Amino acid sequence: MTTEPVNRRRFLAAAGGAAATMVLGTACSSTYDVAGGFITPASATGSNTIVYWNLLSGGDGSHMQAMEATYQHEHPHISLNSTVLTWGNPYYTKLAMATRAGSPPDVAIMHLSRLSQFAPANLLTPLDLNLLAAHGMTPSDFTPAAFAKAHYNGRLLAIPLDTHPFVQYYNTKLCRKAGLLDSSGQLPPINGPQALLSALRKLKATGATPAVCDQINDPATPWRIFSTLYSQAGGSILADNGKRIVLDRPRAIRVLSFIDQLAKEGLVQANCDAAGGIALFQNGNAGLYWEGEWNVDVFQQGGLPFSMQPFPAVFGSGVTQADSHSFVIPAQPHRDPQRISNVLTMVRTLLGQSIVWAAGGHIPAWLPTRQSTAYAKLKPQSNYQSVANHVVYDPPAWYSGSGSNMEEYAGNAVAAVMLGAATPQAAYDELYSALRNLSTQPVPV
Amino acid sequence: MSSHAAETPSRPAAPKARDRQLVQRPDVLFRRCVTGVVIALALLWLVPVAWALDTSLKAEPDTIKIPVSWAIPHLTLSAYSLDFSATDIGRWYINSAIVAVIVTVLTVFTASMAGYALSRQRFRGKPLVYAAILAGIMIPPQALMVPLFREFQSVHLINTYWALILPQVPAPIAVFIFKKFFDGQPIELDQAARVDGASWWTCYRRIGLPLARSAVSAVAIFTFVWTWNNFLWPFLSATNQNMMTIPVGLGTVISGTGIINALQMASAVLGALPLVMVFLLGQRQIVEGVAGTGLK
Amino acid sequence: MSTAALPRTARPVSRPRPDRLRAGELAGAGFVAPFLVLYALFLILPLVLAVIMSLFNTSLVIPGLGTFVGLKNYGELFSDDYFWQAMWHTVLFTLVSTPFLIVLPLLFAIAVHRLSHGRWFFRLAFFLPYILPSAVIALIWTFMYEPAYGLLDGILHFFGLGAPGWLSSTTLTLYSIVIVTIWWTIGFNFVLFVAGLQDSPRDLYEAAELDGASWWAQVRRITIPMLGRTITLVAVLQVIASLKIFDQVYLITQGGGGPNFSARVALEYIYDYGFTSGRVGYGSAASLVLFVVILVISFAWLALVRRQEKGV
Repeated sequence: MTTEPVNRRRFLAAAGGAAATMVLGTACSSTYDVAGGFITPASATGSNTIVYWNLLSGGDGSHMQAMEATYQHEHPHISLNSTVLTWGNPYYTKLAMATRAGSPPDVAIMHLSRLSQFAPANLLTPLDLNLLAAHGMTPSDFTPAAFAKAHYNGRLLAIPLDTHPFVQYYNTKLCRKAGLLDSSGQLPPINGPQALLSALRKLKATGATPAVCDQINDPATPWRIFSTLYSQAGGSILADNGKRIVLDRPRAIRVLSFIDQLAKEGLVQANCDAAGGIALFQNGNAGLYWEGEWNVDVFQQGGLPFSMQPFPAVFGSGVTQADSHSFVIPAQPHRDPQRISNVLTMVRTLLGQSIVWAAGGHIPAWLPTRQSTAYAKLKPQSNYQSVANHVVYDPPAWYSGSGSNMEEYAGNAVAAVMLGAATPQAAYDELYSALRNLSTQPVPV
Repeated sequence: MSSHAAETPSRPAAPKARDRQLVQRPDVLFRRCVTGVVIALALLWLVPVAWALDTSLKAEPDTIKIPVSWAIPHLTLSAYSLDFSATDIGRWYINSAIVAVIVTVLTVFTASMAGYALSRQRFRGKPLVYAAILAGIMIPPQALMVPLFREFQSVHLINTYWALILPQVPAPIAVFIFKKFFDGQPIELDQAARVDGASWWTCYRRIGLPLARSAVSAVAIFTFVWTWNNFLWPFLSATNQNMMTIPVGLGTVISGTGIINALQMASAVLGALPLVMVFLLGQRQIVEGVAGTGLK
Repeated sequence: MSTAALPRTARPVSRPRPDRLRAGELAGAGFVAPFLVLYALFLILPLVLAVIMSLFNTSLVIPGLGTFVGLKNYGELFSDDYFWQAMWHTVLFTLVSTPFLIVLPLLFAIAVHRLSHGRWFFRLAFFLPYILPSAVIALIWTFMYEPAYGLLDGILHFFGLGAPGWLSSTTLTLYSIVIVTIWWTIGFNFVLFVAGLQDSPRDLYEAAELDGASWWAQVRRITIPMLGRTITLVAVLQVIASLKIFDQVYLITQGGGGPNFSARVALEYIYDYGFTSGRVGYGSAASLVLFVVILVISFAWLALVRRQEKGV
């Protein structure tokens, strides 16, 4: 009895010693430049290194890794140091802090809707069209809507990679059971509120969960639903770079009442977070799933019988909320032309593999790919590619954009309706007061 | 029960004992119930960790099966290997180790010296210093993160070990513990040494510190644990991936999308491992360390 | 001061006192200097900076202090409902969690300390969570709370109960985080109580037992009074720690503060405004207000508990 704990402790001590030796060994080896951490990390990287930050933590992340690997294979003398960080506000906060602290990455992924936060504070390096052309990129190579959005005050600050709209996934097995599919096994476009309600009710009648989307922990999804429906109804939200609110009350109430009806009739599963939505749809329990198109891999790998299409045109036009990933070069304390050239070569190499990117769900902004037959054959990803031409981005403001304060505050108000915690009227009031609160704050950029 | 009853009469105070047992019977029962409940609660306390371990060994599709089950249909370590290939967890371990060790050494050193001086020596402004330290225990450093960040930003030390280490060193509570400890130790040894001409430094190093071993180990253990686990300040001051510590790096794993439950739980297990090992090694020292300080 | 008045020459070897005092003067200052320098740099200087910046519209991304705005930041702060909501969540969290974090570990410690063997097991079970990083806690509990396939909903489902929406209900989310916190941090107080109990003399209990005192009477008459100082200490440390809550809320709600900000606490508000929105000046003002509130509550609580202790 008495020797037993001693043995356990001896074992643990030995194991701990071994682990410590390993850690110290790696620390001293050249893999980790520990000493560099006592100086500043920015000076620790030479000009043949590219530090690349992105927030691609979803299914798209593995596609980006594949593209990076190809680049690395083609350019072995460059060391590509890629970092995935937490999506949304934390990412952009970190990027802004690192840029201002003088140690930004050489290149970063940024949502085009976020330019209005970074550009006014001069945190981004303007891009010269001639320099772009020298690296094999011209304006006509990009989806026009996305390329236009890559400008701020007439200056090009970003190179668009894709357009990623809010879409509708559907479980073909459940939709067939509900009698919603046409003879070719596709779900015909759903137009108008009644059509959507009736489709959901039919799904409900089969005993399935009619529709899922995430409402908790990430208010971006409720925001995307609201923004899509409200834009379809012809409304706009902000003007003058976010200093003025032009939210239209009757339209907003109409949209919120529709969302309320979906919740009250139990047509959309309540209490779902992002992981829960994926799980419900992957388990084959849900008919429709509303989300960005980036989860296509998850369900393809999961062997789920499903397809995808543009989000229903509930109110009039088929406009859809979207954003675009783009490459930006954060402002460097010392601008090194060689590093910028390396970055542009890398960007061009990644754009050239847009078909790999498209497989992850996003609509490539690179037209040579978007117009190719290879992409047209990529199903269900190309089902919704036309959407990229009529999307609505978040209105420009220092507090708006993907995962921003605006999405968070406004999305929370919409989520309250989805969760049955607020009436459309109350949600509108909250939405309005949240926007007013944001728009009247002193502009910190 | 029956064997107990058979043994009691052999005791010297046999008749009295039997009386007492009659009185105590419901009490014994009560005590057993209490023990049973506390065992059940302890097991319950281990459930979340066990569940994380269980999930980390599953294949991803099995982590979202309904109904929920402890069974592992396909045992795999793939989540762990993915963790090492997809994240910088090795680098985070090293950063955490560097930061926690240096902070611990500096804290023990500065706090024990200050505590020794406050207990043994007289100097101008001593009451003021002591008051500042007592007030410092109440100071919430977390509430000062905004200006502290600005401070480091202005001297361009964000993203360095300096930023991660230095602000975590001044811990008034550690000074307080050391002062209380030295107050409880006899002063005669120091006095004798002083008479023999030893400097204060020698007294502190040869007499004070060796005597204070239990306080040193308690402060060291808790400083190490707190520093290793500190989230907010490293989260702010390490904006670069290669400066992240374990808690900060793991924080970036939380927000991934897709079905990554096994990956997340494997990350949790890996993140927990080093301190769990330290704990298993030093369980008794931790408890005795706490008992040996003024912290009771 | 008194040492300076002593004549330097009158220093007989047989009387070491003045010598010690004079040398101690320098040595003492030297001994506290390393600590005081760090203390001044990283606790006092930020405090001063906060006071200054709170009067400017300092930005995170623009160098310099910005322009002087007087007390405008405070005016905005005091009229912002979100700020008061966040402050209330911090206070509510403290009010709800503190009693559990004092009473539960106390009961556990009392129940465990007179067991003759297996104490290591309880130490392991209750203290293990305490040494886990907040990110690990958040990973584990987010998964525990997951709707439908999370363990907790799975158990509820097994008993035919519905899912309460642990992290989706605006009323429940903060309490879900209280549960996590109790599970996580109970071990520290548990160890303090166990350590306190180890000192209580055995013969006292044996005497009480001979007198036929019941288990509960022993606990009430011996254990609790013996632990008086420990309970005071735990109560004070616990309240101070709870008012600083940030990590688990930030990580579990993934920076969002829970549905409709129903779990956003004061420090998270400061983070959201000072860093995410880049409003360092405004964030500093909020920091100072929280700072003062924590100090006031801590001192008031300390005074209250001390008085209580003396009264007993």
